[in-house]
Amino acid sequence: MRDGKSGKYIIIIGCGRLGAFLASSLSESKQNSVVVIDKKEEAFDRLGSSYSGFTIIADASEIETLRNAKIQKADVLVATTNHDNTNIMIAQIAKGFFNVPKVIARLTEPAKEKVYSELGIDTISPTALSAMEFYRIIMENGE
Amino acid sequence: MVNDMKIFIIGGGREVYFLIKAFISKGYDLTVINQDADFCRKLSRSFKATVVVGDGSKPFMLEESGIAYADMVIALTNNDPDNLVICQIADKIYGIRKTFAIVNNPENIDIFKKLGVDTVISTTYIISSLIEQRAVVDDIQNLTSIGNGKVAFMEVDVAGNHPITGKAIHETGFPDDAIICCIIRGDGVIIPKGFTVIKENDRLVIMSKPEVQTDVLMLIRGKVD
Amino acid sequence: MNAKKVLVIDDEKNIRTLIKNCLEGNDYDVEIAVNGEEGYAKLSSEDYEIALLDIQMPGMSGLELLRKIRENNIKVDIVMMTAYGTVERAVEAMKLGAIDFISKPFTPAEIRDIVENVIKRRQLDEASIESFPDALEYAKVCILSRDYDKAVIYLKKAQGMDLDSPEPQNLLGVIAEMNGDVLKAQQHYRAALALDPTHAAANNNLRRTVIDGMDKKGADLGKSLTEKPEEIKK
Repeated sequence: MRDGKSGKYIIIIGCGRLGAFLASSLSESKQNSVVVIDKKEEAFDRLGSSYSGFTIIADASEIETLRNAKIQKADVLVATTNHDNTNIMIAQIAKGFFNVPKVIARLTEPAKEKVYSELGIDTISPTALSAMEFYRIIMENGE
Repeated sequence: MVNDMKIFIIGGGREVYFLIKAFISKGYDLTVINQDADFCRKLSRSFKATVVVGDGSKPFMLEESGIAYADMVIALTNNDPDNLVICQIADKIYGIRKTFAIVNNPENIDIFKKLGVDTVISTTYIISSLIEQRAVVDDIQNLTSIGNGKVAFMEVDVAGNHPITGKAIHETGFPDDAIICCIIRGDGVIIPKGFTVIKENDRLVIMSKPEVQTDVLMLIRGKVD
Repeated sequence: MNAKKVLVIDDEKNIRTLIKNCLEGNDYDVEIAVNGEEGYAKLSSEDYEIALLDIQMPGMSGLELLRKIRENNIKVDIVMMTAYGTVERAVEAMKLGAIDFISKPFTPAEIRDIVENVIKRRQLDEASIESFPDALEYAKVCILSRDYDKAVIYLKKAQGMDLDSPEPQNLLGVIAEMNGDVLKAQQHYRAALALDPTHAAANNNLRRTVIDGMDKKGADLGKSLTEKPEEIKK
């Protein structure tokens, strides 16, 4: 993609439930190449049998790990570890040092989102999203 | 006024105790955020400082502790990403220019600096460079220092292929802050003058300031280690 | 045009699927083998344009398979797939006759480009070889597939295009060595060094033939024009 051809190169940090789900579904879309990085080998058990992509056992908060994953070629990086600040740091490295076009960080604390958007990072807070969805359903049913 | 300087120290272990002690003696206003409740209790008994028990890597904890009024923030947690984010929040959200962070991974020094942290300290880097210096020194033999490390002594053996061999001392361009005190040649000892010629197998006893030792070694051996 | 046959030999299902997905629809007919033994069986019973071979597999390793393919004169271009930490072995693989390598993880574009380039190199024909690098590259392909006579023709061609370059002399030396003429080989290596005293491959080859005696296995073809120097160094 970075060179204009089809098929994205996607790096996912953290193979928890969110990371694993994302990795599996993104790799199912043909022609994408997906890399998942997690510190723990067991984490990759969460990837479904349909997963077609790479796995790397390493600490992605080390820049060396990101280099080995060829971050300079990535079209997308999603940081989904359960540690907000780690996601923030990796997101900034991806954006600021390797010019990854699309970088998303997952945040568990909705309160932080405003803070980080001021730091210039796209963030997604699953907590806030599901709360909003609940709100929408409740309000719709209420009418 | 310097005395009004407000310093925030977030995380850290025993070093925090000594930091506070040093800062208090200078009359600074201190706030400490630390997760170790027992440690916090001890600090608050010992010092006139604001002590908050909690996770300083959380933005709301920083805000509630009054970080907006800080002049300087020191992030000492054992997690590099936490230290980065603490300093960034301090800098970008509250406009605090003086931020200090400890990093465990020396590769993060440059990253942190480029991402806006004022001063980055890596103990790993400091320790490994100290060990490296030491290793260089061990190769040279018998290094002692006097005057609290302000003056260093070393002995260097001269080999035939060293650039200094065959030269008179005044020709070598020896640094100002170093001097060859004596030359051990065979069984004898020579107190050198400027015209004394250095020969193969001489052992030079050199007194210098520590910072020019590398230059001296380069001059004598053409290499440091 | 006929679909080009590609064989993927890797023990990991993820990777086999990924490569298949990336190459499909690009005029490639991708087949898979799940280990070295199966890979060898397929390669010896059918013709493939290119085989992508994982360097690290349980059972017969990638390097063992590569050696077996070369010993049995199976004509196929081999691209090694390496993981982090096995790049050094990729260099060994190049010496054993792999035509290129790709390090994991790779992007969709990387895998497509490497397959495309290797096949393009293979299809170079006399008419289309107009540049020095093309002629040299084609000569290497010929050497790797043991077609020495043809290789010599293209090396002479390359020499005609660039008189000052040491590479053709080095490769002529390699061919002489393969044909058992060590003295002639040394002459070529010396000629290469006369053109460029720093030419590492020729230096290695000369030293090897003079000091270590005959050991064709280490013949150094010089740097591939497509290999990535920064990855080799790691």
